[in-house]
Amino acid sequence: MEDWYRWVREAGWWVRRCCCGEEEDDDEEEEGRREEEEEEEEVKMEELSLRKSRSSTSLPPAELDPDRSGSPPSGFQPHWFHTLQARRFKVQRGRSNSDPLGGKSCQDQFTWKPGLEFGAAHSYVSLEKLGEGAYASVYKGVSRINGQLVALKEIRMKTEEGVPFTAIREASLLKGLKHANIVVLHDIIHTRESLTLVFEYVQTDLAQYLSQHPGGLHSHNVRLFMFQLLRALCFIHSRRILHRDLKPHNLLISYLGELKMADFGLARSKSVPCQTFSSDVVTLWYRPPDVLLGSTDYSTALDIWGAGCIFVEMLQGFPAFPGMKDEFEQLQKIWTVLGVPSEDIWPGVSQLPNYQPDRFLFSEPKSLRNVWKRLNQLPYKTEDLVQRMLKVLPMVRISAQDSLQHPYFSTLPPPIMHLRDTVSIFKVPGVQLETEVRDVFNSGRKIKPSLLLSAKFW
Amino acid sequence: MAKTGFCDSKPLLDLHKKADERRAPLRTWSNACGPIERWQPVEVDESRMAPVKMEPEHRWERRLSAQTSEGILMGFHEDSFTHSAADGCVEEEEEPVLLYPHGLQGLPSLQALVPSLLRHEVETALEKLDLIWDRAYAWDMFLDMARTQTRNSFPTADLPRHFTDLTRSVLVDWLIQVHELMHFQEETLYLAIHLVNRSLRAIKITTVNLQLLGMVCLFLAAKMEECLLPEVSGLCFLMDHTYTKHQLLRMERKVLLGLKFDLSYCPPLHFLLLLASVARCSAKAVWMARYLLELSLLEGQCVLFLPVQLAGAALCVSRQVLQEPSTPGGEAAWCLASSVHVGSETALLRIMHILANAAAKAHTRETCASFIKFSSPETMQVSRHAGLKNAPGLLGVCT
Repeated sequence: MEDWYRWVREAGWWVRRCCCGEEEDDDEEEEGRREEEEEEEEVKMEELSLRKSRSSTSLPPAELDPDRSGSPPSGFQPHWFHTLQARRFKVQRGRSNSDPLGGKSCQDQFTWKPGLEFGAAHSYVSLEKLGEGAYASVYKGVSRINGQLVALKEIRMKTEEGVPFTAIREASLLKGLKHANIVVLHDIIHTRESLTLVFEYVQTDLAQYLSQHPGGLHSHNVRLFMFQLLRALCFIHSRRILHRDLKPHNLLISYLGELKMADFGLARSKSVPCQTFSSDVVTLWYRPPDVLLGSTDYSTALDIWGAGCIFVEMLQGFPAFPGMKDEFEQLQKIWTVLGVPSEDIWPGVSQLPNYQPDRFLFSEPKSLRNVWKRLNQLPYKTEDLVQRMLKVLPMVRISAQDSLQHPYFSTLPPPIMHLRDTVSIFKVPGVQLETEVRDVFNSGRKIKPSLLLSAKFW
Repeated sequence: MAKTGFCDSKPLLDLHKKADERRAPLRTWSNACGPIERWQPVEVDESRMAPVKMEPEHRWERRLSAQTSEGILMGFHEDSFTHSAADGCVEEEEEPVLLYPHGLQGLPSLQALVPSLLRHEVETALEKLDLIWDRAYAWDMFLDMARTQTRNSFPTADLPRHFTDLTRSVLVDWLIQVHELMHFQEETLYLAIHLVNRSLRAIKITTVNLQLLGMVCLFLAAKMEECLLPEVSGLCFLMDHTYTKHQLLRMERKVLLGLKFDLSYCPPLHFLLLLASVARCSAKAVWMARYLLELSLLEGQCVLFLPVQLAGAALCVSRQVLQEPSTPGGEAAWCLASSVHVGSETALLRIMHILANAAAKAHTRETCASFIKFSSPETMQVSRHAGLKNAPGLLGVCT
């Protein structure tokens, strides 16, 4: 092994000699490095032309701030960026858009300058913090290029490893995924000390929507949300991608009712056959029994289980399997509804690492409509779809493709089935969100809005 | 689909066998296949091919046009191919056709069966290779592979003027060694070299930084594909600390920006395994094809071609070199596999020549990492196969 290393290093030296001409031109090397330093400063990326065209029409820069336009010299920008970074953390939560930076001293940051570019940090101003994720913080922001609201996902950089692989995968995957039900990645800002992904801003997410409308959603809306969720799943699954972290927090909802799948940090494309993922991929509540039992043989069924849980949660208003502690409790929650699987039903189940029948309380499979009362009030096909999605055995769980053809969706206008990927279902005439029956903002029983805000997690 | 019985390969293969007078059924297929307008004569000069004894590849163009007139396989036509490669966008028309695969209603004619047989074979192969999760999506995934690969070739093989193909091949050879040392997946290597190719064209790289670029591309590829990542300091060590950690991370940023964070790639290896599985190739033939495919990484000219073309050509050369006794069933399977292949016969022959020449000279070159790698017993010592030395002769043309 030692030898191998030495050999490769020697080969490396040879590479340098052959292709770089190391000895001869030390000067060139120096020059090369200096040159690189310079290039460093201009960090830019090119952009979505659509927006560019709008930038001139919607907000003419000169009009907004005549005396400032063009004044800051470009050399000033890196410094400016530092100040913005520092200030970000001082922004108080819950501060409204009207006073995002909390002081007149930073007014010049709102200058609408000509020549702003995509990919540059100073093209965006962050307004308020929306949430904190495992490897990133999310801010609401505004684009200085066209005045659009954006969500800025600021990824913590690890100095040791460079750009985190999760960020690389997320950005790379989203670049290739153009779908009406998948969040749009507008821009990427990459500077020396940070990496920020700029997403379209979507008003709310499903978790927040659920808490705003407690006690279950309107059945029509549930259908629309489920359809969009399955449509997005069908799209990514046919592109060899698993989301792997489905939960209401990661499903953004626009004011129209468009559902957008977000947070592909754990997603990955199936390009490596022998692949074992780390076991904590899906938030426990939405994790399927096969994964809880320790199976690493992931498949599209993983996302379908999550979608099934979300389906029930939307109908009922509370999570389907809210385990509190660990995998075993989570499994027990599932078994009490679906029954403990035996080797007859699920060949090979006893081989899975976490399969310990003595720790499981025996229970028979129950009829879903007795567990989740809302199913009782709805036509049978609703229960049928839930049942097909929440199969204990991953192999028999329905696929996203098949579930879109399920009779549950037959009441939607037929054209909805034949939309192009990038067209929202709300473009189909007659498709619109119904008003929710219960709304904490509009009813007599008021819940403190601050409680709701804290539920926001991007 | 899988249960209709019509798609079952067995009866159909028997059907081929009956008519099989070596390549006879092919002609009937292409003649039977509906509209002839899009049928194109093979552009390759027949006399050049004389010594080749009419190998199956000759039919590729014909098979291809047969497929296209069927309209079952997406833009598998040269024109639409170059078109989509140019602007990177995807034709939308194909979708409805694929949603309703035809050929299964009523009495199936042979021409209707070929695409469905192919589809069945491809689905089975993908499943066997564990490249998919769910059979229901197999065909979609295959089409997606075929679609995304069109973005993976380059319009020209020209490198920035201060690099030559030789410097590039020295770098690639070194990366192959580092890759082997790190015990990475094969896909990682293909992705890394692809990133090198793209970066060389997208960003300004000085000659001193070429090695750094190579290492960063390998690092990025590992971040996309691997579960265990190497440490930055380890990478610097492998480069003899010529570059600092700081420089490496800066280069990483530069590459990511230059490539606009788009690191998606469809490695030719997947196509190779898929084709080999459909064609029922022997283990040795597959290893040799893998060796040839890896040699293609060293060849600057190979960036012009699509991954599926490279894979197809590698498999062709490997079959010709090994000259394994053919069985009628194997022949039919090979015909079917070759219908997956995209592109003109000229392109295919060009790649085959490049690969054959590379293989013939591999052991004498300084860049021989792949040669050594594939001379081990685990890889069935394919690189030492005597036939490879006169592979160009086998192809009938000396270059």
